[in-house]
Parts: sequence; structure tokens; C-alpha cells
Amino acid sequence: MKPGSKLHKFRTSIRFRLMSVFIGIVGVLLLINAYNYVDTNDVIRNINQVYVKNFSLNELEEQLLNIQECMKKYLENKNTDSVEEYYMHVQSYEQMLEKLNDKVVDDGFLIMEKNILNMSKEYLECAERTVEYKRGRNVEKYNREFQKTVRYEQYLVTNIDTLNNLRFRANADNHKRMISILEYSQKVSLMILVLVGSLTILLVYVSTTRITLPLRRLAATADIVTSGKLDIEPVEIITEDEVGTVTSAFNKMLYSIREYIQRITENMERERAHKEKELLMNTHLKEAQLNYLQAQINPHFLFNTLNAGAGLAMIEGADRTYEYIQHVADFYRYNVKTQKSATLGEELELVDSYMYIINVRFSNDIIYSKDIDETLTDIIVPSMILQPIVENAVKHGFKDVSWERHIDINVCLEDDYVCVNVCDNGVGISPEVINDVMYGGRTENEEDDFDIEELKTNGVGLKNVCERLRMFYDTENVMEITSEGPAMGTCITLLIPYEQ
Amino acid sequence: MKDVEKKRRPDMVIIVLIIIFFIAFLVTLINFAVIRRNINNSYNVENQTQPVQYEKHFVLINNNEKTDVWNSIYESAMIYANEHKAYVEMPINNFETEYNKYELFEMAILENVDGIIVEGDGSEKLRQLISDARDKGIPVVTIMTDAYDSKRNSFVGASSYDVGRELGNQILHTINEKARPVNNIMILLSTEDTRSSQHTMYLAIMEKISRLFGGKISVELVDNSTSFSTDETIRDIFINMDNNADIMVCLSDEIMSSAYQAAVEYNKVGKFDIMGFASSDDVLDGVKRGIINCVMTYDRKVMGRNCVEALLEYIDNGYVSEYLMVDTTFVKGDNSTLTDNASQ
Repeated sequence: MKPGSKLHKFRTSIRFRLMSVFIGIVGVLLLINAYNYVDTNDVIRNINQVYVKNFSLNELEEQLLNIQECMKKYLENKNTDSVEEYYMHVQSYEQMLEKLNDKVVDDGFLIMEKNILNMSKEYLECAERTVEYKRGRNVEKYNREFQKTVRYEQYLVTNIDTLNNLRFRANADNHKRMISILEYSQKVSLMILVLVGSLTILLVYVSTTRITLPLRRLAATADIVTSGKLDIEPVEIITEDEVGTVTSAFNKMLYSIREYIQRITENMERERAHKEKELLMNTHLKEAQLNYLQAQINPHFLFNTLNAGAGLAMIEGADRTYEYIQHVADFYRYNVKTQKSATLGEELELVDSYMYIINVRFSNDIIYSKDIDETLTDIIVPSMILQPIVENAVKHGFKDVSWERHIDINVCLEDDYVCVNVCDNGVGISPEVINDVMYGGRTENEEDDFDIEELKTNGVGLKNVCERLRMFYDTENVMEITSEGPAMGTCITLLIPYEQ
Repeated sequence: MKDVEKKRRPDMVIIVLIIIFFIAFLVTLINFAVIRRNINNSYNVENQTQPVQYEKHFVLINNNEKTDVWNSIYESAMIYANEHKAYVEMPINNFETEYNKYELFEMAILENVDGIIVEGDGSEKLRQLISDARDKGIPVVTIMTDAYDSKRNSFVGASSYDVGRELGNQILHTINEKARPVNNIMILLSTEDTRSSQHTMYLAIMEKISRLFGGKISVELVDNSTSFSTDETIRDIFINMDNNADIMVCLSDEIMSSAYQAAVEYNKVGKFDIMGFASSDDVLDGVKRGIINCVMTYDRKVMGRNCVEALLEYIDNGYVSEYLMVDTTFVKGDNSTLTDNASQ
């Protein structure tokens, strides 16, 4: 039988097993009862048979007495009815005689039967002669023959009674023995029924326990799973029945749930990291803005004031003042904006304004030049990324510089990146500072040298720009700082992923 | 997913239980089968062995006595008959109603048996019945006592006359051997048998001793008409006897047995000698114990066998010897070997 076939499935099913157990038990009990029934019937039939010969002998004697009685009546009054009855009884008697033994055997009962048979024949012949003599009215002869019949009848009755008594005694013994055997049989049957009954109960108990064991195990495991503990061993599959199928499905389901929960956990972890990053970015922006606002006292007020100043300068015809104030106003306006992102062009405009202000402040001391690919000015970049770099160059790069100061900005497309180069010809940046800005590996001494506190209070700072760019583009490679050595200038390149 | 290995455990408990279950079932069936066989055996107890079939049916009829002597005779007759495909029936053993010898004889004639062995007597009735049987072609053998002048085919037994003479010799021998003089001899006879064997024995004894014994010889008739009369008469004799009997001669088993018991009960043992003709086990036991001095007996086995032999011979050949004598033996208290042989 192939595993998986219909027949195999049926034979391994709970229904089949339960049916087998119950049909088997019921079958055995039925067989025992049927055998008992047949046997008891047989015994009862045998018991009934015990006295059959006694009944026959009684009937034989009765017929004999009837014959004698009828013959006597006939002799007394020659009644036709009596003679008819006589013949009828003779016929019955002869029929009964046929059942008697006629052989010489070493059995006392059978010998007596033979004697009764032969005596009966003699008696019937004598009776027949009596009736014949009566018909012939031979009084002397029928009287003599009748006396003989009386004597013969007595002999016969004695013989029949004796045989009947002897048979009855023997049969009574048999009957007694049968009854005792029956009583024994009843006791043994009862014991066996009790034994078989007990075994049946035990068998049913064990069978049902065996059949329901996988189900109970499954239920127990399901309870554990319900309580929330999923990290458990799969349920062992003992049988190939319905419970086996359900157990297999349960194991698969348990595995699927565990896998699904793991996937969800991973997704949540990723999402959480993402949110955390975004939150951090916002925090940095807010931090930059806060720093800026803290530095620029009430920029809105200042911005409005500057606008009023610009209007006043224009009315008075002071064009350079007007332009100067306008740039200052633009510069602060840009800083007041709260957007996280801006176009590269807007960033460059801010740098323009800043450089104008600086040059006014420092008497066109710094030569500012741009080489811009105009097609790239629309790309979106995080706001406030260029101005801090330029401010850094102005504040730190040109510190104590006596030579002509240059700041060049170059925007071009290289590979898939928009490269924004901000180069100066200042004092340059030491590799340690570059490392700190790029990877956060500064020491306390280096911090002092680079005057980070000043950076924090007066400018947004390179580090801030670098981290914001990394968060914005989700990539590490966003900035390159090159400085060939002291007084060799610094070139900071922003690498902005370019998307068509 | 890690595959769970499917296991098929053999349910040993269930298998063991099922085995026990079927053993119990088998025990039940065997039990019922045994019970059934026992019941059938009980029912068919008389048919368990197929009865042996014989060709001839003989009947042994005596004087309505169920003594061990007759039983011995019957048994030996039956053994010999069985060996020759014949069956011997002793109706006296069967009937609850007591029939006399003549009625039993008549029944045997009616039963149309193949041969009749009868304890003979001198009665006319028996002679007539023997004649009726012979008319029907049934051979008749008399045993123990002959039926004189009857048509019986043969007689098997000891000659009463010879037995009487031997007893006479023994009485004389005892008289001569006794230290004290013997003055009185008492002979006990059954009333119902005075005309046949005992009477003949008595005559033979008298013939032998009367000329040589000068003392008194008295005859006491013992009533044996009913079952208990013999014993009662003997007791009366013992009570009323005047202590002068020196030898008591009993001529039948019944008389001898009663006399022996009375002698013990009335403390007469050793006061007189008891002797006679008998063959019952009781009497032989009395001889063994020394209460009865001597008894003349015969071989019962030979007697029973001879009867059947005579009938078969007549049926086969149409003739048979008229007398088949059985040897007699004297058994005394001092020859126990002889006693044992006779009792067998």
C-alpha cells in the first residue's frame, strides 16, 4: 500500500482506528455471546433429551394398560367400540415396540428392552388369541388365555417399570451432573465475561489514550503558543492520521509566524533608524539655525530694519549704500528661511551676498570669482551649505594672511556628481583638522588650535555641513577637503549626487 | 523550515492487550467446548462405548437369592459366555419387585431367550415350566440342585448324595478325633428343600453315620419361606438348645451363615463343632477364623462356566451330557490355602 494513497489515508485515519477497536471488541463479545447462546441451547436440548426414553416407556405402559382394558371390556360385553379401540392401541403399541432394542448386547437397559419386546409379542399373540376365542365364543379357552394375558401384562408392567426406574435413576444422575456442569459453566462464563469486560475497558482506555495523545500534545503546545511563547520546538508527529496532518500544518504555521515577526522586527528597526536619522538631521538644522539666530539678534527685526535702511539710501541716492544694505538684507532673509533645502543657485546667491558684505567690510580685500555651470543651479541641496564653507575660508583661511586673498567657486558635473569646489589661497588646514571634520577624530589640543568655539558661535561650521550632507544624501562621500600644506590654501569640494 | 521526522511507534501496549484479549477469547471457547463435551459425555454416558453384540441370550434363575455364591457363579458364567459370543442375564438382579423362581422362569420363556440356567428343585411347577421351555425350543440346564424327572437338558452341580456321604465321613472323623465323647449331632435342614438336595444329603449322612455312631442324631427344620425366617429360626434353636449338641451340621449356605453368626453372638464358639455343605464367602470366612470347623464346598467358577458350556454344546450339537459334576473340597480352619482357592 502506497503512503499517501486513499486506502493508506483511510487506514491511518482516527476514524478507522477507532472503528477497528470498537468493531473488534464488539465482534469478540458478540462471538462469545453467540457461542454461549448456541452452547446453552445445546445443553438445554440435551437436558430435555435425558428423559425422552422415560416418556416413551410411560407411553408404552399406558398403551399396554389400554390394550388390556379394551380387551377386558370386549370380553365383558363384546363391545365393537372396545375391539376397535383394542386394535388401535395394539397398532400404537406395535409402533412403539419398533423403537425398542431387539439385539443381544451387554447393556442391561437394552437387554431389558429386548425382553420387553419379546414378552410384548407373546402378550399380543396371547391377547389376539383371547379375542379370537371370544369371537368363537369358546369360553374356556378365552378365559384361560385372558388369565395368561393378565399375568403377562403384570410381567410387562413390572419390566417396564423396572426399566423406567433404572433409566430414571441413571438419567437423574446425568441430569444432576449436567446441572452441576451448567452451574460451573455459568460461574466460569461470568468470570470470563468480567475478565473480558475489564480487558475491553482497559483496551478502550489505552486505545483512546494512544489515539488522542498527539491531539493532547498539540493542544498543550497551542496553549504555550497562545501565551505568547513562540520559540518552542515543533510538535512531534507520531501518527499519520488527521491529527498528524493538523500537527504538520501547526508546525508550518508556527514557523511562518516566527519568520513574519522577525521580518516585521527588522523593518521596524530599519524604520526606526531612518526616523532617528531624520530626527538627527532636523536637530542639526535646528541647531544651526538656533546658533545663527542666537548669533544674529532678532534677524527679522534686523532684516526689516535693513530693508528700511536700503529704502532710505535709495531715496537719498546713495546707491552703494543701498546695494550694501540690500545684500545684507538678502543675506539675513535667506537665513531667516526655514526650509531644509534650497537650490544650488540660491546657495550661490547667498555666497555672493556674503562676499559682497565681506568685501565692503574689508575694502575689496578678497577676490571672489565663480565658474558656474548654469545648468546645475537648479539642483536641490540642503540649505546653508556653501556660505559656512566660504565664511570658514574668510575667518580662518585668511587669518593673518598678507598676500592677496582669493576665493574661487567652481560648479561642474563630474561623473554622476555635481562638484562644488570652494578654494582659497589661505593658510590651509592641517590633516588632523581635516580628519576631525570628515570623521570626527579630533583631540582636545587640536580643537584649541582650530578655535572650534569660534566656529560654533560665529559660523555654522564645516562639520555641520558635512554631516547634514551625509544625512541628506545618505552617503558618506559628500565632501573632500584638500590642503597641500601650510599657506598652500584649502580646497573644499562638495560631491552632490546628480539625478536627471 | 526544519522538517519534523515522522515516527511510527509500534503500540506495544495495545498489541499486548490485544494478545491477552484473544487469549481470553480462546480460553472462553475452550472452556465452552470442554463444558459442552462434558455435558454430551454425561448425556451419552450409556452410549459412550458401543455395546458389544452377542449371538445368544441366556438367563440364570435361582431361588431369588442375591448371595455372593450366585454372584460368583453368574460372573464366571458371564465371562465364559462372553468369550463364546453369548450373554447371560440374571433377572433377579434387576427387578425391584421380587418374583419367585417360577415366575422368572415363565418370563424367560416369554422373552424367548436362547437358554435357561435354573436352580433346580423337585417341584411339579418347575418340571412343567421346563417342559414348556423345551416345547418352545429353549434348552434348560439345572444348577446346584437337579429337577428330577424334568426335561432339563443337563445338570451342573455336586451330587447331593456324594456330598452327604463325604459329610458323614467327616463327621465320623471328627468324632474320632475329638478328645471328649460326642453324644449329640444336630442336623439343620431347610423346610423348603426337604424333598431335594438337602434331603438327599441328610439321607446320605444318616446312611453313613447311623451304623457307626451310637449317640443321638436330631434334625431341626429351618424355616426358609421368607427372607429373614432362616436367621430367626436359627436364633430360636440356639436360644432353646439344651447345650448337649456336640456337632452341628448345616446343609445350606443360609443355615451355615446364620449358625456361624449365632454362635458368635450367643458365645457358643468352641462349645460344639459346626460343619456342613456351603460355599459362601461368609462361611469360608468363618472357617478361616476357626469358628466353623470344616465345610464342604465346590468351585463356583467351574459351576458357572459349565452351565454355559452345556447350553452352547446343546445348541451346537443338539445333545449334551445330562450330568456335569463339579468337584467338591473340604475346607478346614487349618488349611487356609484351600480356603482361599475355594473362595475364588
